Amino acid sequence: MTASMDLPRKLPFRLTRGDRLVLLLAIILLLSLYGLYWSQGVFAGQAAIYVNGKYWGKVNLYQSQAIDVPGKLGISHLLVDKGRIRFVDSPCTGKQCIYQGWISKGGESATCLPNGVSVQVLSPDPRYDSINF
Amino acid sequence: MTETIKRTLRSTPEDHLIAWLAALAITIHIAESALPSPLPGVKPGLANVVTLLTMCLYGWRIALWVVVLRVLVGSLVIGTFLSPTFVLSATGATCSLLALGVLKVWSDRLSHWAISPVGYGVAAAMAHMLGQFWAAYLLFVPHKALFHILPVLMTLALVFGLVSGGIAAIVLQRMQKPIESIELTES
Repeated sequence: MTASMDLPRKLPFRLTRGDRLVLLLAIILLLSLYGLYWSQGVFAGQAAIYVNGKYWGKVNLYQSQAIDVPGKLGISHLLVDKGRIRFVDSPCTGKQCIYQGWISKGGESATCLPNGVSVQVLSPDPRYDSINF
Repeated sequence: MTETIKRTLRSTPEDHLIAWLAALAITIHIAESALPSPLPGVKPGLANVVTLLTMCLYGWRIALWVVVLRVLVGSLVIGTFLSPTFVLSATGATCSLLALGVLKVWSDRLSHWAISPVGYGVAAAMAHMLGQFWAAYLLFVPHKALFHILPVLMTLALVFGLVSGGIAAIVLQRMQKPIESIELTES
């Protein structure tokens, strides 16, 4: 039909203009899919804080900061540093939350049950669905 | 009254055409199911070559019949009828037929942007994969991590679509060659 149809002589079949448009759209779709689902980094980078089971806030783990979270008994002190987060002080008796230490990987969590404060590292692809102790 | 009954039982040449094409597609479908697959839901889809050829030669309606028969009879013979595999296959086939229908209308209306079997093949394969993935996500594995595999699956769909579309295009070229050019060997 058109001159452009005769160009790709090496192929055993001819591509029409419509074919090229379909291929172009297909490649655009593919690239956008890769961009959508493969661009998220391996490092989690974010953590969610819950108080009494309710969402309290989100923190960026690459921004060093100290966070004070008011719980049932008082204020829990959290520390954020280099992509990780930990409890440094909490008005509880067992101090289990502090012993849990730094957490940084997607799906990991630290909890202070007496004060009702918990923190979970967010991830698009969590390593664990849940952890039982 | 008896006349109408007789008339409904008579088969038309079109029925025979559909039956032959469906038989061809089912045979390829079954032969292909014997091939080992690296990932669930990934198949070259060579039976789709028959669908593409049917659509280019006889139109979308006949292709619809061939696909429906292929999915139904193919699953009955292989033994996956009404199983998850069948649901995925049926959803994928529906989506690819819809994509083919849209492209066919487009191709017929706009002659400058006519589409050859290669374009149809790519569109059908990718629509099939998207539909299949959507069904798998909604019905069987509603987990967001599933989306990480979608780009890979779609890349494979593009490759397989090119292959089956290319085969269909070559077959169509050979079929449209004038009879004189076919060499007859004397025996």
